[in-house]
Amino acid sequence: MTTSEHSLLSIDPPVHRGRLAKSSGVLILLAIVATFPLWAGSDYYVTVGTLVLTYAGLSQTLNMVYGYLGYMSISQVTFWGIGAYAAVKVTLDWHVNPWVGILVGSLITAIIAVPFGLLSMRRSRNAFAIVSIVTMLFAALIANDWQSFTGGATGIINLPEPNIHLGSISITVVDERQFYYATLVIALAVLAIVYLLVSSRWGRLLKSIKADESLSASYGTNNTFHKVLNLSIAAFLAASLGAITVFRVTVVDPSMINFYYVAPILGMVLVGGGGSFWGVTSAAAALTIIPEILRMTDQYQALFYGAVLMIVALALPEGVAPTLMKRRQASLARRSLHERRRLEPSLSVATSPLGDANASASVAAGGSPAELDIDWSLVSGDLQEDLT
Amino acid sequence: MIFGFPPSFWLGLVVNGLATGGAYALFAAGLTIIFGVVGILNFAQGEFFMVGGFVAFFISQNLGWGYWVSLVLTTAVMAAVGAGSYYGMFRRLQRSPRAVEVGLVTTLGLSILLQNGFTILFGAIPRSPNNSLLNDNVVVGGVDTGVLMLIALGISIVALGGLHLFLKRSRLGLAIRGVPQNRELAAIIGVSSAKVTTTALAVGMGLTGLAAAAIIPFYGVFPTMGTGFVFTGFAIVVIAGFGSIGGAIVIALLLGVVMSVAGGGFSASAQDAAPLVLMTAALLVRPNGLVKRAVRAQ
Repeated sequence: MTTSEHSLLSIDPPVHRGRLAKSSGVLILLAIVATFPLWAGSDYYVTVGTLVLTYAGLSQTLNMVYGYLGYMSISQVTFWGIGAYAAVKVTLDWHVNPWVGILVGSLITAIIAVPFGLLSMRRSRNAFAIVSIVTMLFAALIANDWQSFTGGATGIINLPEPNIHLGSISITVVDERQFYYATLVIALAVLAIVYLLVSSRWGRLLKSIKADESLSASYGTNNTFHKVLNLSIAAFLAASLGAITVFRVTVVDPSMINFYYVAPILGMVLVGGGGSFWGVTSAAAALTIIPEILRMTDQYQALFYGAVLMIVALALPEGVAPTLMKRRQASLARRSLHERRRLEPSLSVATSPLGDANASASVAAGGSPAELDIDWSLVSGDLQEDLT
Repeated sequence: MIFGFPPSFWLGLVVNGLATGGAYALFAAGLTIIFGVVGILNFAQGEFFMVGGFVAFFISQNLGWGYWVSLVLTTAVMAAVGAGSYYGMFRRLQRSPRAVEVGLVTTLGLSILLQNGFTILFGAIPRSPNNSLLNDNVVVGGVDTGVLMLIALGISIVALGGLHLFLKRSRLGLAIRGVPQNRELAAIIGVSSAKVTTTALAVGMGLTGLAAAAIIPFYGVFPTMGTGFVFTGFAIVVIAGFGSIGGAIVIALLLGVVMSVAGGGFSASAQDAAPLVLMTAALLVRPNGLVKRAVRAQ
């Protein structure tokens, strides 16, 4: 094994060391989430838990489009509203079980997202952001004005309960706790799908499109196809969350398609750091719970989310979680370098008199391990995404 | 008779549309100038418009200085706010490596803050300053038209004429047109970025304030008054093509007329839907903007 190969491997331990801790952490988290209604105390806490799940899923669908692809999509809220209406219409008009309605409604939304994506993603990212904002208004307008189809401003009320009957098994979904579990099923599915997609080969393809569209096109990637596919999947997932939400509150009205939902999920993605799965998930939980702890009214909640958006975008444009991650990784990298020096006395002889920076500069041409330390700090932003 | 109404009815709608279209033109010109020079889509422009409306209301109503004084002072106050916003916010945003996204998010946050803050402070109910001309009408070409609307249209025309002269004849105006075309070259030949950006923000916000001050006697002042403007403004910018000031003005006037005709002749929904339908059509037909000739790579 040559020196350079060895140094490449010795960078790895910080990655693998965390894997066991991470998977046990996920299991503990799942256990907490799955048992939450049993020890939560009051229905109010259960409702907050349901909100956390909903926002975690919804912000993750935004993360798919914005964090991993680089397209700032206000449309996630449009899709979640369209999904809600479509699911209700399918359930009521076809006289089917609400779960069938949710599935079909989400599919309809995914199909609607395709022409929208083809139309809006072919220009610049600025244009997409604007078009997605204006489209949201358009959708809200239709919800408000198309009386005969959407029920107008009052919406459609008294939605049926999404009970499940499979042969002799009957599961009723009526009270807060049961809806918590119904939401849990959908939210976990959304989180799992997003996680699997973004950590797959395809996820890295999305990141390459985000980094440089013309470069990835020059490698033969059909950018438009992947961008629209991503948007369509994100629309499907957002729609399913919107659908279960309206069955929980038993009414679907135009307030579903509102900036009221845009600010929180944008804040969650920004605080968590676009392109960071766990960062966004934790930010979703924190930003849902904080206003509830402070017992804010809607107006003050909006102020809170507006302030979060401004402060994070101005002070920490990369997000809170990635900034912390970066620091941690820098220290890990430094530690692994120290360990290597301890194990390889020859290396410490070569580098210690000069210090890190000089050493890497002077031996860069020779391919010394010290050079990797510098590389690490430069690319840690991208590597960190692969670690999550 | 056209669609069951006499031609004079439609002509009246066109005049009304031009009056609001003039305000849209001022607003969209401001939006375009700021986007071109600062490189940031100012989502909070609608809320700056709303703040301008409140300032104008305060000057003409609370201070009792009247409509004309409020026009001048509101423009000045909002221009100062615009220049100040460079040092408070836009300078920092411009330096961000992802200025467009970060800018959009920050200004979205600011717009939510301002809108809800003003609602908490002043309530959501619209108020209108007293204006003795409110119910006065004159007959123009056989059409009854509100005097205030004509005045608002006149103000827009004068202001747009002034803007034209400023952009074409002054060195700073030249810089404002030049910087969006080639930022680096402008810097190389010694155009001060801070100075041009501050001026662009001052002009953009000043125009926005003027638009608000001009129309509040018949439009009213309320915390959400900027929402409709910012959506229409964005649609105008998309239809005209990013960065085209003249195009934005033409489209704004046109859109004002289309919206007024759609609203008066058909329904309020048609009025609201008009900018969105036109924007979609424009994206389908000319994805790079109807007016703009060359598109800058973004």
